[in-house]
Amino acid sequence: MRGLVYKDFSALMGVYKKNLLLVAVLYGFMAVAMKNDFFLYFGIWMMSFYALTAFSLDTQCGWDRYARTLPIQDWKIVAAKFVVGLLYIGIAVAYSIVMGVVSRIVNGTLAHSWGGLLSTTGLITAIVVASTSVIYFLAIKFSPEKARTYFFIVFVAIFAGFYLLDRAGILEDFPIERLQAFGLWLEGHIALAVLLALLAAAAVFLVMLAAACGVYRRKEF
Amino acid sequence: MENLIEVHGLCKHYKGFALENVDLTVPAGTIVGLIGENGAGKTTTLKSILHVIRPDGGTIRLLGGDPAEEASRSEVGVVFEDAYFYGGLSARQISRIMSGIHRNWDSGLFFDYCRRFELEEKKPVKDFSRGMRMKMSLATALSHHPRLLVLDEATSGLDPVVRGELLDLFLEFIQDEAHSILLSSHITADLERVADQIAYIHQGRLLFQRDKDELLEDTAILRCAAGEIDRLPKELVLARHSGPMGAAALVRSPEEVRRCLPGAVLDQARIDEMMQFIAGRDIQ
Repeated sequence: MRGLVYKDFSALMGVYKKNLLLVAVLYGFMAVAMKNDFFLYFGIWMMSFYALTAFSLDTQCGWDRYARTLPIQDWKIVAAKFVVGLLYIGIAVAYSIVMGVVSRIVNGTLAHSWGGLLSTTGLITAIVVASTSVIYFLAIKFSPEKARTYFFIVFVAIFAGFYLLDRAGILEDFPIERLQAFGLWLEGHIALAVLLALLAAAAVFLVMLAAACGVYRRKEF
Repeated sequence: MENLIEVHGLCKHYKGFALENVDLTVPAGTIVGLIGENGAGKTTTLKSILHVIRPDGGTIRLLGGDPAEEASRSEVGVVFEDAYFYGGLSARQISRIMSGIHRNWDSGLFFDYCRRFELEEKKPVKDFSRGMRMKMSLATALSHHPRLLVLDEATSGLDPVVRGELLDLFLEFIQDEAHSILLSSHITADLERVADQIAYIHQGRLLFQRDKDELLEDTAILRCAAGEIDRLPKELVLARHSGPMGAAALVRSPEEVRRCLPGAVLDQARIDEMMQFIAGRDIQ
């Protein structure tokens, strides 16, 4: 699997090296200058989409057909893709934490906000890992292009659904105080919440990986 | 003699195309040329042998094992015309990747091939010419000391000089009688030069697998009047064609044909002419 991970990692770096450097510098600068961590968190999400390009590169060059002829088990070919996704997310998370700390040092807010940086990064990481796992499964089942499309459709549908429910007055009876109470509980137990979110993301990752392996095994190229 | 590939009764069905009961063997120390028209089933056969697709029926033994088992594929080198690494990778990166995939990857041998083929180690594959890319694919296929090479249209689109180099390499590869090559190609002249056996797939069926020299000696083109062809025993006529210039037939056992039709004009049949006859197309 080492060879497969290296293949995707170096192919992606070949494609995106300059782009990644530019985005890292730009988002890092904006996070510090505007005292806004959003750019760092957004970078984590973006990195997972950069890694998805590995599927498109494989399709372009017919790699899947060639890979089947190599002495590698099918699950390793799939797992390598998921591992590369995690590696890219990991790089973005590390960069996000480093730049978050730099931003707080520059702006003199490190003493009272580093905990928030870590917990938010943890929650964002959990969301990105879970959503990336679903997208990767869809990319293997259908294609990377369809996976991106389906994901955005679901994303938009969720927000549109809430908007329409609100417009229809259905959300008026929603027990908002329970949601607020849950929010307060989260604030009080943030470390536990982050841990649970990361565990849930790990579970989604493993389930999607297993499902993707099953799909890949049945595929023909 | 040991068979490195044994295919019996291979079937694969698609909408509009079916591969039916293909039997094929690749004995050790031989080059088997797989020929057939576009869409005849050559690539489907190769993909089935290499575990890229699952056959609907039949059995396949690859180096004595099941192609689905990774161990069976560990001593096979594969070159597809249109499937390889992403073009942004260099030879150096490809070697590093393959060293993580093949246990017996020999990077020294790989770079020897790169030098022999004049392939720059740091240059991305996409910057190579088609011939160089094919050489790179072949260098990759050879550098884990495979016993068997499976090559799908590996010489198509290459100039005669590059093709000649690759064909020499194929002959070098099988010299010790333990290695074999299954080579699918439209360039029948290449197969006439290097193949020991010819397997012909037509419309999803294997029409024959024969020793190449025997096939060329035992098959001829008879040019005569249509009525004369009718006088021949049916088993001698493989295919026939009538045109404005007269009639012609692809016949077996030229000596027997001569006995039946003394004075008949018999030309040696080339492999591509056999294909054209059998496929029912005009010949020049």
